[in-house]
Amino acid sequence: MRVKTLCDAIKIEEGECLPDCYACQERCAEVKQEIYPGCAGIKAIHIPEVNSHTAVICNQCREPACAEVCPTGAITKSEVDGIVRIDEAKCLGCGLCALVCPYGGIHYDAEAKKAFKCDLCDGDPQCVSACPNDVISLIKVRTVWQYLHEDKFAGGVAFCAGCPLELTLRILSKVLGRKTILVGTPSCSAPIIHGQNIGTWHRLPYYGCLMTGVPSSATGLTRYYRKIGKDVRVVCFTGDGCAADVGFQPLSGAAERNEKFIYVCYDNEGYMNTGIQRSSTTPFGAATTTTPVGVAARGKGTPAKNLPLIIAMHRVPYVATATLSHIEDFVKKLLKAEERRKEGFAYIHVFSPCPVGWGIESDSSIQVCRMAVRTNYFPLWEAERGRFRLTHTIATPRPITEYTKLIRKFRHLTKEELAQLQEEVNSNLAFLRHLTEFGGEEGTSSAEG
Amino acid sequence: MGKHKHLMIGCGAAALSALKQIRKLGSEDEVKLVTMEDYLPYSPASLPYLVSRRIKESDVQVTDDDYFDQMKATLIRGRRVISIDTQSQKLYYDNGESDTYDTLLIASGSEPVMPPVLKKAGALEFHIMDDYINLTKHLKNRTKVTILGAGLVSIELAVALRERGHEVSVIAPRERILRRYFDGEVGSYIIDLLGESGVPVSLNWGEVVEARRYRDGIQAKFASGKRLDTHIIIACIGVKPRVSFVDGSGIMINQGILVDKRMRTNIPSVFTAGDVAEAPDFFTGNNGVNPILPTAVRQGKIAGSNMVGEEVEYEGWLPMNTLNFFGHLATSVGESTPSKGDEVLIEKEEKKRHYKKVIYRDGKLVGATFIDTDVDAGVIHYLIKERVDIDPYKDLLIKKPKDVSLWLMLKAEKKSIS
Repeated sequence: MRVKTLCDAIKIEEGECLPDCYACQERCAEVKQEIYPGCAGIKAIHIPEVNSHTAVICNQCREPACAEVCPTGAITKSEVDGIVRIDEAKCLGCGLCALVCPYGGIHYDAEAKKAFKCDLCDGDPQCVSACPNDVISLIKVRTVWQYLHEDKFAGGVAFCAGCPLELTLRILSKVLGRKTILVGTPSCSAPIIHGQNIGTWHRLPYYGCLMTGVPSSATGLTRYYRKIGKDVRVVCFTGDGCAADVGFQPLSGAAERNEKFIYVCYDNEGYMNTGIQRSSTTPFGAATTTTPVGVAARGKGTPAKNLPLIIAMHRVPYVATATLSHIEDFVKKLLKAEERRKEGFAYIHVFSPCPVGWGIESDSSIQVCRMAVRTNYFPLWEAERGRFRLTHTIATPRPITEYTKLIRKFRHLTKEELAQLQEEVNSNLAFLRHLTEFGGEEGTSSAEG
Repeated sequence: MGKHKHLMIGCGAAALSALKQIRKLGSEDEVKLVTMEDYLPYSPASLPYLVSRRIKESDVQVTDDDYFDQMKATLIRGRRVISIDTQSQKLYYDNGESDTYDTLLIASGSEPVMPPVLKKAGALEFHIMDDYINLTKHLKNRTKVTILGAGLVSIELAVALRERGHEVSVIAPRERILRRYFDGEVGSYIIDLLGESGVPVSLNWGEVVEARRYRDGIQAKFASGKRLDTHIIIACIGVKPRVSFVDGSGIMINQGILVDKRMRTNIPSVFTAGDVAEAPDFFTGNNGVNPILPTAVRQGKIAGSNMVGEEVEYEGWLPMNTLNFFGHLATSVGESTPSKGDEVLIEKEEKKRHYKKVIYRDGKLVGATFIDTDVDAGVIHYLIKERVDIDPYKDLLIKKPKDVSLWLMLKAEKKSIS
């Protein structure tokens, strides 16, 4: 899917407009009447012949064709809020913008000799409240835009093709910003967080230690900076092998002591860097080099350890799960973790498919992330000060087979084994739902199925 | 590997678009633009609007004053390129200096065609800022202006001069106007609408055979035998790619500089974009010149990507344009006349006001023309470019072009993201 919008945007629910309703368009024309009579940034479309009733509005494109072609530079995309605006004084009224916009987002009126487009009413679009059927809503992504504006990630990538770690680190460094020290260990992320390859780096200071020492080193760093009165955020970045197995004791200790740093675990469900061995977070049935599939063995025989829940049981200020198919959700969680870090320990568990170790196509990691969410294999949730909340509920979950068929480490699973995996997914979700009942709430429901 | 040096000839839409793209892709290479003009970047598309006084001279500048500093690029103004040595990758300037490059973008644009006989008699051109300034000097105490030529610039300029209060007429050498965008019938609609607003258009004058300047104006004689006596003649007969300095460099030229889909010339490390380029078109892939602003922007973007090592291909240009005059709007996207086997639907009025024409080929849209019709031309452009299947909705589209084109676009977008 092409990303067209990186600022607040109007969302129009498909196929839910009332026939012959022009409320949005009329309200827009009323609000903007001084520009020219009848101008409207939003257009209601009614075609009874094909029973279609909807509305069209500017996408506030990331690379607006209208702005690129404007002969006087009158159309610009704001670097602050991402809104694409027309400077009336500079507008020729030539109409080239309407000739190149593929989405019907900009309108040209020859009589008024003016172009007109939606400017989101500078953040409070009037069409939203004008709609009698709640079809139009404003999606707020301003924070994302602002944080994504600066890239703290140097060029070049030294990861395996298709590995989502680059995007994870890129987002992490963009959202958390400069005053960050990363603490890590030899692992999949090493090629970038150690800066082993010339030109591939995250432009942040990094402290490298052994798997058994990551949280304790972070503890030392955090306390040192607090002592000298500097607000520096320390962020541990390790895989699941370090977090759940080798470095679990110091992690649990740091969580229990409520140390004021952020721990981000990227979960690729095993020791992918050292040769695809199983870890305690490898799921039931998965083939690894130490849980092979043969005459006697059928992949891993036990279910994965649910590390984020274990950390949540330490009653720390913030725990969340996240993945790259839902970047906005991930960004929000990083921002919350940063906020809660001031009170104590914050932990984010990032689902991170491994194209090499899992046997997935290098162009489908994000698709695998999305399917993990849509099947509830990897539910997105957070626990903020002990209150559990599903941040993204799935209206009609896909069966687990939709997920496992994308991944070769599951290809040997029989119907019965798949049913067992499905059962685990169901009971995990049920367990989470129980937790949300203790003062929690459910997030925005999604039509994804 | 050290930093590359990209040199660009020109600082119009194509070069600016290439520069922007190079920076967007994260390249920190050296970029230098050289322009023959003395001004900061402006678009010639805004010149008619200066004539009509719709905007002020201070408003035509496309970029901020410190734009090139922001982009970490250098702009050299008022310098012409004399020749290119592609062997040693060197450029020679009119001031005797030379410059080297690793990658060269030729985005020198186009130049007007001016018959020598008219030039001698003091006819004016209207192509760049200096022409506008020169024109305003001449307009001071003269009122009667004749525009020679029937392209888009001629008509836009005629409209602008009329709005400024001058007595204007347009003389077309041949039997049609705006041939690149509109067929004869649509052309006659436009001629009628122009006539109603005080811009008479006269056809079939032929070439100028004689011209003579006298104290108050110019007299000219045409191949058709017709004679003209007016204060000012502005020749807008046509434009051709500005390529004189390319001769002898080994870079292949037909009408313009020939390029492939990645905007590369036959010489490695030399790229071209915009009015000067003869690039593949959308329908056939054959090379041709398409001197319009959206094409320059797009080609510049493709060239910029390829100059820093990305492999990006151009989907090919489509003829398209939009003409607004006295509150009317004529728009053309894609082909204006059908080929054999095409299906054409036309809806028009007796009173010659609204006009709609769409051309279908194998169930897909290949061209559309509209006069004073409520439709978003860009959406029509999308339907052609994405080769959206219109077959079941052919009649519906011409009946309600705006709503139906938007709906088809939404439908096609949904298909492409699912």
